[in-house]
Amino acid sequence: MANAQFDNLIHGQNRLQICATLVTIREVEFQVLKESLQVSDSVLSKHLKSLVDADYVKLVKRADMGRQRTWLSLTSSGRSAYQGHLQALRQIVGGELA
Amino acid sequence: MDPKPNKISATEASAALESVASFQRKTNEIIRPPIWLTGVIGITYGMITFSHAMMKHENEWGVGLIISMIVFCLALGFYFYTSKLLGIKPRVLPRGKAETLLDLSAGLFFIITIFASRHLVSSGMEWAAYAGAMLNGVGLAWLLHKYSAGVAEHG
Repeated sequence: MANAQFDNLIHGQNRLQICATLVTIREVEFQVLKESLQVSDSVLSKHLKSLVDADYVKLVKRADMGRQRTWLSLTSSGRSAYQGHLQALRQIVGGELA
Repeated sequence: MDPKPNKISATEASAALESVASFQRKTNEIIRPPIWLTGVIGITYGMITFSHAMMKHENEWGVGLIISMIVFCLALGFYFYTSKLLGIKPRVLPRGKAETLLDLSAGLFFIITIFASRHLVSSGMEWAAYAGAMLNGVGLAWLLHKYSAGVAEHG
């Protein structure tokens, strides 16, 4: 089990949802994630930039089936940070942290 | 990672965890195969179990086994291909203890059912082939429908 570590970067609503989505999938396309979160291109790009800069999310652009697509995945450090953050949230709910 | 201590309340933490749970349920709905494809995969897996149990030198169930395996592989391939077209690449291998345990338990269950069915049919209990096919077919379809996104990690 991951060590509990609250992460302010992940905690923002959309970023937490981005991680919650990416942790269950190998890769997802930018447009699919955007539709799932119901946010604009610019909002999603801004959140992804923060996560990519922290090396939590990997962003790869490649040509697939004749068109350019942007694929997103969670890195191992992103997964650890996300699981640690969930553990911290559980502890807060359980009353172990002030 | 930000080392600053958290400043959120238990209510906010609970809301965040609920949001995570909701998103993982939503992701499962996006990832999982359509019902008809889940049905095809379940039925062909059941047929693999049935054909394997009923197979003997003097019957044609060996051919049935091969055909079922081909259709099963084609159905899975179709699922992964269409998922990729839709912009999602599902995970194949488990991550985390809960998922690994689920996958190992399911794998063990399927293997035991396949071999137990054949053993019982060889002993004269033909009903075991039908029972094994139902268990494996329904079991796989249920797992695909409920756990396509893996085991949820929310609190």
